[in-house]
Amino acid sequence: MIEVQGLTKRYGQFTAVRDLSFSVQPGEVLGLVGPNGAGKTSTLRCLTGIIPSQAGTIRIGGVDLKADPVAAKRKLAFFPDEPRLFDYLTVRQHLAFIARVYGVRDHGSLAGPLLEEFEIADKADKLPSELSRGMKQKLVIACGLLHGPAVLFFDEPLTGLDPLGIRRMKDSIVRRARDGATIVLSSHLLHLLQEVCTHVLILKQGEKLAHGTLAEVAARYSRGEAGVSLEEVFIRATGGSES
Amino acid sequence: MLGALLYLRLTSVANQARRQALRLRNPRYFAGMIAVIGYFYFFLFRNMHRMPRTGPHGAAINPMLFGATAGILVMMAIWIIGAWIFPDLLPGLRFSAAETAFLFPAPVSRRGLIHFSLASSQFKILFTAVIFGLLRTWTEPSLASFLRHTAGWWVLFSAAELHRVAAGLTYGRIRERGGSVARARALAAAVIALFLAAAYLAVERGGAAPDLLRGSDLAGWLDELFRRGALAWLFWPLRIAAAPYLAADGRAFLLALGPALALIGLHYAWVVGLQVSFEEGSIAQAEKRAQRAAAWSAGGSPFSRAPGKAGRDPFPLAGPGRPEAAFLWKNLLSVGAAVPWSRLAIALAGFAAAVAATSWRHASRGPRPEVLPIVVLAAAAMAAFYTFLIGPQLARQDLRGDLAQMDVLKTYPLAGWQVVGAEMLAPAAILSGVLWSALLAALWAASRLPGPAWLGPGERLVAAACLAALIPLVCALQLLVPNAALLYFPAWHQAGRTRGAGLENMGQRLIFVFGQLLSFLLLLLPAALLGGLLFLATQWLIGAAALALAAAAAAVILGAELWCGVWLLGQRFERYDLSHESL
Repeated sequence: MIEVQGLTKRYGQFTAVRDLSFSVQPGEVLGLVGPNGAGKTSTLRCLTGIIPSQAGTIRIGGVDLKADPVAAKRKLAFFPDEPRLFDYLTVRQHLAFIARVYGVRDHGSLAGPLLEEFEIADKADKLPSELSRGMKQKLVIACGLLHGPAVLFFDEPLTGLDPLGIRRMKDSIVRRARDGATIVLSSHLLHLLQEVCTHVLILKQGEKLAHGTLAEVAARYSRGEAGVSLEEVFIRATGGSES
Repeated sequence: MLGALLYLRLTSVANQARRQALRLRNPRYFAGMIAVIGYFYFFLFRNMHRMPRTGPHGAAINPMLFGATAGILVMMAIWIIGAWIFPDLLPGLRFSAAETAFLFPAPVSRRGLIHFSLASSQFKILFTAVIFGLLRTWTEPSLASFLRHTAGWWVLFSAAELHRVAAGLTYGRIRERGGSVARARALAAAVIALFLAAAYLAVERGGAAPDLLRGSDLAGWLDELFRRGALAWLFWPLRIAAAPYLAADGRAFLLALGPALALIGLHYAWVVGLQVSFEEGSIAQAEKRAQRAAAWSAGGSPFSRAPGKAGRDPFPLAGPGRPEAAFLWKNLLSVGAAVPWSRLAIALAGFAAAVAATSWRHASRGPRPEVLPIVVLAAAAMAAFYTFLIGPQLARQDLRGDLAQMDVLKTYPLAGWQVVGAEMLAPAAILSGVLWSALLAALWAASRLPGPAWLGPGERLVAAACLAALIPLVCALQLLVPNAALLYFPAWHQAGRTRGAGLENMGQRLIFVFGQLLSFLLLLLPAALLGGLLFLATQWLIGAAALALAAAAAAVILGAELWCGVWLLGQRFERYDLSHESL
């Protein structure tokens, strides 16, 4: 579970996120959307403890991120938009490293099925330079899932994946939510969010425009029309511009 | 084609200059520019305003300048030898990634591309020659000397560059014609070995080397050395290339310039006449350079290579246990994969063979002091000196190496001090390993050489044990400084790594290097003072044990400093926000 209360992030004089509050329950998939510069990445980076916020409280699985960051980080996994891997570690060595950092016992028995699930088992002894972008992305996800996190943050998870990879990734996200994981997903691909998310949070200039289930948010901007797509909702909510 | 090159270079230089001028509004860049102006003035231009048009010819080169010149010539020789012994798998000319993307599909002939690449390299060569020519004005402050030596360096660099390119293309030609490159490499290695042996014999028989401190004539000595017998033929091209630089006056220079230009012309004809496919190799080299630049920009070592194959685990890493061990394991793995072990082994074997041969020849010529311990002692001292001086800049398997992964590191369930301390383990271990090896070698050498009476074998052992215990702490403290610089001044750290970084960034690096040395000395001072005082106060009472006592006290101080430093950097790491800091 994620609980955010009054989150504010400033860069000098510029406020990237202003007084943001929301919560995500286990089993829910929250889609974080907004135009460029809306504060999505800053929000994700604050929620994962990468950057400090100026105000507000963040609780990950009931643990205050500011008060006990180590315990909170044990419960989460963050998947950045660019797969950042260690150049000199093979697929297998990445998993061994992560297992030690997170203190995962018997990681060998966990790593095998993960590599199978993401279809990179045959690449176990390959370096990142020998992997395609999609495979790197899969390795990042396998590393993130190794310690069985309860809370998952995805930043543009489909970038670089082929159509089959996209399908599998969507299935994987939905399955993990069904198994009780709390998931936040930031993306510009609104059709992905529509397929995968249970809830949506629309940001603009660091402020919350709308938050709720897909149906609730759609109803708010539908003007009485039926079957309004998330794309249309997004355009109406944000006024069709970044500013 | 050359018009396009000129446009590209001049426009790039103008845009870069404009960008640098705009950046000077920022105080830190301005400070950097002041530092670099001061540096250039002190080292290069301070003699310019009082420089006569002509000056004393053939003035003795000072020892420092001689060392630098000899070093550059040796590096050039190694560079050329490397081109013959370790050629690239595919021959290639130097192009940037953008140049390969735009020029290779363009309607330009292969010869045009060769001209573009060769002319492009001339910009760097000319700039370097001017800098080296200015350096020579230290001892010969005259315009004529500056022009003569600049032209001399230009001839040397141009000939070396053309030779290197020709070597690569020659292998390409052999490969294209179905020949054995391995056999050709072996032949080249044998010829080079013959040249080196001949050079050694020439130096050995050449009589006393010039006493540079007393201003004897280096050029004359070298000229005499390589003028006799078969050596004159063996080193004939080298003598021609070096003659303009070594010319004592304008007339000699002009006489030497003709043959030197002819030599360059022959090399040019060699390169152009080979007609080998170089495009594929050029693209591969450009990509490799781009990757290296990206790795450097992301915090890696300037000498690091992209890993070709996976490295072996340095030690087994089980799941449970201290997470710090995982960082040590990971960073040691990166060293194993990045170091060109086979080339290093060949170079070390060559060095060992040269030392052994020298030692054997020395011994066979009568009862003289052992030369091997002296060589080993000197090598150990050099290794220790350079490890202290530039070791922390080369061993970057810490936070600096993981700059691109900083976001990921911050999501790990570890306290800041744990990440910082764990990241520093591998470079500290590497530097300690080098210093321990140097210490062992020095200990062995000292046991074979006569020493002062007060430093007997027992005292040596105690001193070595104390030093060995202090070395890891000192290395870790050294590493603390660049990591602190990264975390506290990330914008400076990043700015110095961007491609096309300006002169003011060079100034910032100078400030950094000075700051690093100063900080390190300040960190050592309390431990040195306490240890020294304890030793002086107790050595008359407990003898050699006073050394151990002093070392223990110093270790406590160094350890406390290290702990505080890591803890503070950990706090900083937790608050670190690159997106904010770099603004």
